[in-house]
Amino acid sequence: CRTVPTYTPEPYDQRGIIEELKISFKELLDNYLQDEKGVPISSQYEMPCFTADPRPPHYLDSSAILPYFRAIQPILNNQTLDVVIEHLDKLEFQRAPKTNISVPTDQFEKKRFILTILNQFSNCLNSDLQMELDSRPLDSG
Amino acid sequence: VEPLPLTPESLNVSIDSAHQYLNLQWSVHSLAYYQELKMLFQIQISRMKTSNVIWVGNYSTVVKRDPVLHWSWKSELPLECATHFVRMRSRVDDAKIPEPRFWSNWSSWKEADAQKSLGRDPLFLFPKDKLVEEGSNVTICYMSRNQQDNISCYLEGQQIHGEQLDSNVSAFKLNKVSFIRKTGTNIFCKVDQKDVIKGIVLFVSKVLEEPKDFSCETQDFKTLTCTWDPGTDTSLPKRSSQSYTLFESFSGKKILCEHKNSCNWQVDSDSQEMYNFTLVAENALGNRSVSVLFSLTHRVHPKTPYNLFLKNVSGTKATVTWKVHPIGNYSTLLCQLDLLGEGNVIQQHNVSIKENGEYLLSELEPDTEYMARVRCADANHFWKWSGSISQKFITAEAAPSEA
Repeated sequence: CRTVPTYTPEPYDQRGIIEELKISFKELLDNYLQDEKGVPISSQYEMPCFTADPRPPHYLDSSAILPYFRAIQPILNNQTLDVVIEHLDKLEFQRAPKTNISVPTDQFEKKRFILTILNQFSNCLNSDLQMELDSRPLDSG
Repeated sequence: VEPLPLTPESLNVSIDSAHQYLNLQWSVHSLAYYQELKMLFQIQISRMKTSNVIWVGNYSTVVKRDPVLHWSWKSELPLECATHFVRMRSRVDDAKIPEPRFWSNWSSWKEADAQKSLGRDPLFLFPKDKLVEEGSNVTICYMSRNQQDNISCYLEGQQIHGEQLDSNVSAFKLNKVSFIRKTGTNIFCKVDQKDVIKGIVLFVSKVLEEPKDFSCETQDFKTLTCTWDPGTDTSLPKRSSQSYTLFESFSGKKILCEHKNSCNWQVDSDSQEMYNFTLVAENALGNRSVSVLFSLTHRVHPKTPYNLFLKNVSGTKATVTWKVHPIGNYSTLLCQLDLLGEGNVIQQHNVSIKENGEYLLSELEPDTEYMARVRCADANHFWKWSGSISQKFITAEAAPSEA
């Protein structure tokens, strides 16, 4: 069974992890958009975003996101994606039940799925997450 | 006399969508008077409707008693995009039967409808995830369930325009497709004003090249090492791998090579002298091969000599000794000994040896730095020099002249 991460990041760690996550993820998304032209995003796939613990210090939790990234990891076989997943691992603090995300077997739909997931996560990082971080007093991370 | 002509009977058409083949099977009424007859079959193929004949061809074969005959037709258009119809007639084409020879009646049209097996999706795009070689022509097509739908299609994000085959079917001829990426070329069509998109990936592989600079050699008469330049890598992840197989025709043996540019072949003890190797490069779309015929003893590439030492170094003389790895029982090596001074070869000597080398260098300058360098090759049939081994030394100072 899945163990809680070896350490629970302190609040101020989360900000640092998220900054590093943003950098790695931008590289991942840019490379994928560069590599795969002519693949439209799909409205059929919906990935949740970070969830935040209501109790201070409002830990951010990536457990709903990780299964999606783990599902596309063997397909992309990409080191930058591995780094992104490492950062997400550090932000997973709930004992999330193991969720298996099924990836479309159709080759084109598989690419659409990947692009849609990456695109939705980009929105997570940019808008929703930023608002969440900004809404907290600085010392609570 | 044979009641001619013989109309083709029991024509059956099966669809191989993946390879875009229509496979025909039919029979001819049993031949009463002849063991076998050479016959000509004329085949017509129509698309969409029987009156729209798109292909006519002849197939000639020898028909024996109660045969079941087979023939296949490759469609450039994915078979899912249109219903096809097939009929045929026959004519004896055998010297045993005098002219005039008449065509039989046409068989009835046989329908080949690949659309029956499709689901209820509003839009289909074919061929699905096809693998082709760079430079080939590919026809893709969409089939829409709703004839009023406005469909637009895009290749790598750029809109493409096709030929309308029917109110709900269009075909797009892609000529000389080029390799874009290993994960394939992206093509999709969408129903305008609706969130209906259907896409395919066209896997375009580079052209498999004939291996270049294919050659084999041995260092010890135990193993033959063949090497080559594989050229462009045509492999596509999970789609098409590229493999190399080595055949040797005299022994009839073959091995699958572990590497893309080299292969080791174990030399049997019966010391087969002549070798005729064929190297076959293969991927999912075909193969290319190259051959080489040689005598084992003409392909000796000795290992680098070792234990190069200088002894009895005086002011004007020095003895060089070295060792070589023995090659077979009868092989003699020709070793080239260079003496270098200030980087220039100032002496060069050839020494034939079997295992241990020794040479007395003379006419040296006292108190001078030199380098001795040795390399060897097969003495009987030169193929390649071995690697070189070298050793610096300084000659002794000149003895004081007699007072």
